[in-house]
Amino acid sequence: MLIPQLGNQSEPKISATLLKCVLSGRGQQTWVYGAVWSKGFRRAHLPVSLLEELIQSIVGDVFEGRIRIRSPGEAPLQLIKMMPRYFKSLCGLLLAVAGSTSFATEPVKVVLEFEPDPANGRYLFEICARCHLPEAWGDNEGNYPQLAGQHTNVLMQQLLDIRSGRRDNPTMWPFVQERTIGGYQNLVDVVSYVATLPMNPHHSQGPWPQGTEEYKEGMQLYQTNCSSCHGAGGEGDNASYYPRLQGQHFSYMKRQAIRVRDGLREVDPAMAAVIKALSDEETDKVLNYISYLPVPAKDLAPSADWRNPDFE
Amino acid sequence: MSDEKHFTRRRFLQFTGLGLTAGAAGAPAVATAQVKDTVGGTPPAIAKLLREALLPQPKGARVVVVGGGWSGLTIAKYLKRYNPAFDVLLIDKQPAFVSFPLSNSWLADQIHLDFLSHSFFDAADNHKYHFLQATVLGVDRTSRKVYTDVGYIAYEYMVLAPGIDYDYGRIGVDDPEQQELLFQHYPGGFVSTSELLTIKHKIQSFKGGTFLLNVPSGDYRCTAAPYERACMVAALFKKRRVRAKILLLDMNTGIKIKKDGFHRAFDELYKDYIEYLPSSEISGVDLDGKAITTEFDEYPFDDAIIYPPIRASRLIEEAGIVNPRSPQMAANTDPFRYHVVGDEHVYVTGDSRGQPFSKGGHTAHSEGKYVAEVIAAHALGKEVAWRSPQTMCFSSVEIDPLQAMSIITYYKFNKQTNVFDFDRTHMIEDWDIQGGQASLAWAEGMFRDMFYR
Repeated sequence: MLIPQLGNQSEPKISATLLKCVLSGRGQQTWVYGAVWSKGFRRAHLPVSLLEELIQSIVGDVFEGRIRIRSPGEAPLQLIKMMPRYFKSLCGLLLAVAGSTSFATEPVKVVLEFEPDPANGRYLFEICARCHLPEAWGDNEGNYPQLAGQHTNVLMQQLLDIRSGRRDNPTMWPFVQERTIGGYQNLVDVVSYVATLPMNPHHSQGPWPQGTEEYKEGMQLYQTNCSSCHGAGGEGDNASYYPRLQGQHFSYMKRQAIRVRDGLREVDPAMAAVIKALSDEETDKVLNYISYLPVPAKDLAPSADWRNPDFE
Repeated sequence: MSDEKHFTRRRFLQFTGLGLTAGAAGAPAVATAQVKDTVGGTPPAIAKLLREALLPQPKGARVVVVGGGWSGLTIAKYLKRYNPAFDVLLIDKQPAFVSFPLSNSWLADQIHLDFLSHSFFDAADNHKYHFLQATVLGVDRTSRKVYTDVGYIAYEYMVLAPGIDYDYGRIGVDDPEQQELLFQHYPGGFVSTSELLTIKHKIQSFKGGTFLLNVPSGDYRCTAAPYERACMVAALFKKRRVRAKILLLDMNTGIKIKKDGFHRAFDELYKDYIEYLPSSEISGVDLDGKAITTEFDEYPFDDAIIYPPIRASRLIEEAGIVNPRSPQMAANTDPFRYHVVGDEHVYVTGDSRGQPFSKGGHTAHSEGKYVAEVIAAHALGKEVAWRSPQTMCFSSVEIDPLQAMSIITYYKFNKQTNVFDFDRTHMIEDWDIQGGQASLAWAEGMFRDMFYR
């Protein structure tokens, strides 16, 4: 198949000799890993397939990637971080290098760091906008979520989860593969572009507005079950990867809640436990309440007729 | 077999006559089969049709889905998801699936046939339903049975998603023999796999001269496809330096979708190749003289792809559920719940549907998810809120690398006029590599959803 190359192709690859060694098998592992450790991971500008292959061959087939987007002005992270079992994983790594596979099933959390380029993100978002539309506002049917306004870490985690298959989304899956969207740098760029978009001021809301009995019950349920992580106003938390709920479509949240309840979407176990503990009626009420949580005016587009000028 | 008692000989004969025509669905109405009353009882070959099909005993309420296209495949999968207790059986007369969406990109060598070809076994296996390769001959809604060439099957619910048939009469070709010849020599490429393979061979082996394509009138399948196909054929001729003129006869007054984009593509990319002629109402085809006649002109050609206007599958007519007001013989169904008026156990979806939604893969897919939910809810005595299907349509205009335009739209019901209008349309008429890339990812995602896990 003739697949065109897309996006920012300037990701510096590690040197040709190193690449060859990595791909040539186990004979030269020690040297290769040592080299990558000290050089390649510093900026983590590796093509995704190579990186995943590398990490998989170090730690077996378990790889939990997490991408961190550096905010402007923030100091860069030191090399690679192994979290949360830093020490154990490092031992695992060393043992693996020495030829042992005893730690092969230990998940290693790898934090990579990228500097976002929203201009490249805008270019890449042309792919996404075919379905998500240039405003990334989602739809009232619940097919697409409101992406605008969502925390960057949350967006990135969803992209990675869909890419790896952890979040089952067959129709989105090919779009987030490297052959379509590109490497991690491109994912970071596209997320950072979405972060520049204002939110839909008229997202779909539940059937019970403020003042109704159902709204009040939903509020109580929210305060008991949800606000400790998602925040009193549904603002979520970027650092902790808690999604922002305010402004999200009622229809979308409902579909996702049903998927979690039925075991079709894997989420944080604590989150799944909350949803499974609620009855269908309670879920409706709490999501209804969330859909009425106010969105700060500064995050909203001036009107529902606003159109993304980047796509004019 | 208690069924045979209710099934009078007279009805049986009617039914078989229709059935044989249905067997050739996709092909023009080949001379109506004459079934003679045989002396000395029913021939064994026909008696077989009246037996119950040999299938595993259903483990729950059986839902039969007729037609393994984008609609039927989606519905079969999501019926099991929304109600795992259903015993879902998908029936198709074809042995395997080949996608029509994206097939124009294949014509221009941008993808392999593997990308478009998928197995019904994989779909059934991965989504826990049954697949039966059989031809549906008729339907008895009173006793809730569907008759196939391997016997009848009882159903609790039935979804008819049989697609479309060509209507050669609307381009002035009424004689069944001429229809048959026209279909085989110059297939339109919108109903069966052999048509696509023939078209590919035609394009790949074309030595030069006039290559004729047309855009049908009416509400045909895949609005952008004939224009896209002209671009893809032109791109291939251009690349291979074939001295050819593509004559695109449009039976409509102008380009029906992505108008500016296609005009620009015709002018900027394929000026020396494509001649676009709107308002060309085709009134006849001269097979021996290789020419198409319109009201005012005659257009000789060296080779052609003739896409006649279409109608809902003949199966809808044979099942006796045509909407008498529908010019294309579409089904008489509830516009929001998709069931046949007066029968909440039979549903019609995909391109035989009664609603005027765009006839294409993505529409059928998003509609299918909703209809599966409607049926699952009905079985529980519940209702789900109506939601609009979504139409997503890519049109490739340039190759190596593939570049495409796209459009996405929804529908809303206009209570004043009682019709569905387009809603929230977003169109990207500047073709680019991202569009081409997105079209491939889109199709892959759809295949993944329908066939794999």
